[in-house]
Amino acid sequence: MDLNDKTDAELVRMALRNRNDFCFLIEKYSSKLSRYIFRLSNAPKEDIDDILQEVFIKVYKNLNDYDCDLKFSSWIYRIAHNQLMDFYRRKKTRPQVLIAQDDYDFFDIIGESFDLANCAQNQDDKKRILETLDKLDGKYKEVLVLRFLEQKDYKEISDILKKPEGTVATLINRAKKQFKELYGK
Amino acid sequence: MENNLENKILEKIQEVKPVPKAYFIVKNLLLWVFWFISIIIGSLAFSVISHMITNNDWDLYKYTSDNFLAFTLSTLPYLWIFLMIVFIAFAYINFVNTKGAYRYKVRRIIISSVMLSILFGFGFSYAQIGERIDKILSKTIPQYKMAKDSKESKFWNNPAKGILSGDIQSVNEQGFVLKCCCGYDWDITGVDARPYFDNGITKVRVVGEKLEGRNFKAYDIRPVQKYKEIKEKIQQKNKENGQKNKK
Repeated sequence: MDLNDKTDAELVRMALRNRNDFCFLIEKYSSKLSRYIFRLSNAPKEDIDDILQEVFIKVYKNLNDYDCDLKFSSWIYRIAHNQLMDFYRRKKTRPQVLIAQDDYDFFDIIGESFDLANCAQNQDDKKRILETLDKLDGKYKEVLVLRFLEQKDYKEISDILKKPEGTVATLINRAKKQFKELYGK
Repeated sequence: MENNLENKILEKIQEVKPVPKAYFIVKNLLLWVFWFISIIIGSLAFSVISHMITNNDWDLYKYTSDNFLAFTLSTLPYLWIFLMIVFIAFAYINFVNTKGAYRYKVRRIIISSVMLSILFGFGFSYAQIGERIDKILSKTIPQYKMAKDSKESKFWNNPAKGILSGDIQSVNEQGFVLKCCCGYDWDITGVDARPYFDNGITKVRVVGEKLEGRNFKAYDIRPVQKYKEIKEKIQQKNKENGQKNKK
């Protein structure tokens, strides 16, 4: 079956009719969510798989709660985000942003969006950016990951983090400000 | 690896049933119902506050307090203000748990909850519901009545400052006898208490001047409870007296 022919709402309806059809939603979102969880954590692969499993079970349990006014991706990211926060609470650690090899665009985006002249010209700059990101407050880190790594718009971030769009904009601005301050030190 | 995870998830969900849609609908509906109930109770509290504030004998502040601010702080209906705040907080908690509430800023939710409570509260005040609540509670809850009486005796009974509060015992040609909140009988002259006494309104505040012993020259007399029917009875009686005097 070509997943591109089906909307998320249709896939949800199919999964509700036949639980084995839930595999289409798993196929569509597992790699995206896995990458998101990986980006927001320094958890090993096994932990990420455990979190992902819990996320999909929770999604399946609450499929009837999915509101079609919302993007399904926002809804599933929200569940993944909450599950990840639970994971941190259980482990009593804090999120640590990891940038993978295929995230090389991220440094250009950061340089451009944060008005950092000659940013990420070499490995040292990139290392400094990552160190700076790691020093940011958790609330700033998660909005930056969603905005610049997951390429979500303000409305989607608002739906994922369950915060008003205005607050998301403020958080991003403050995150940029804090980043620049820390980067400049 | 991916397929492995997919199979694991599919295997696990074989034992899981999606929560029925009705559960989420009822849950959201209940949140709205509780939100509405909280707003209504907050509004009822506001209507009682409004009743108490509008009938507070503000012009008599000089007889009881050093200044207007001290009088205001002493006479604010704190219990009802507390209840109103509690129910606005309940309304807020219920609202933020409804679907989509996160789109609104906390400040906006709180302001709109307060505004709604005040708006409905004005409606209830207009329908004299606040007054009725106060009256019913005074009749049915002894502690509520005791608290009100205690405040009355502590705050509104100060003969040295020119104010007495108590029960009219009898009415005579010269004036009337008042048993004040402290239990003393006072001979009051200067005002006609008959319109009150004849209508069964015995709890009054008397403004005037302390004379020798337990004598008091009154300038004004007011019922403690300012319920609508009391006000109407007094107005009616005063009108009748006025007509009699004209004749």
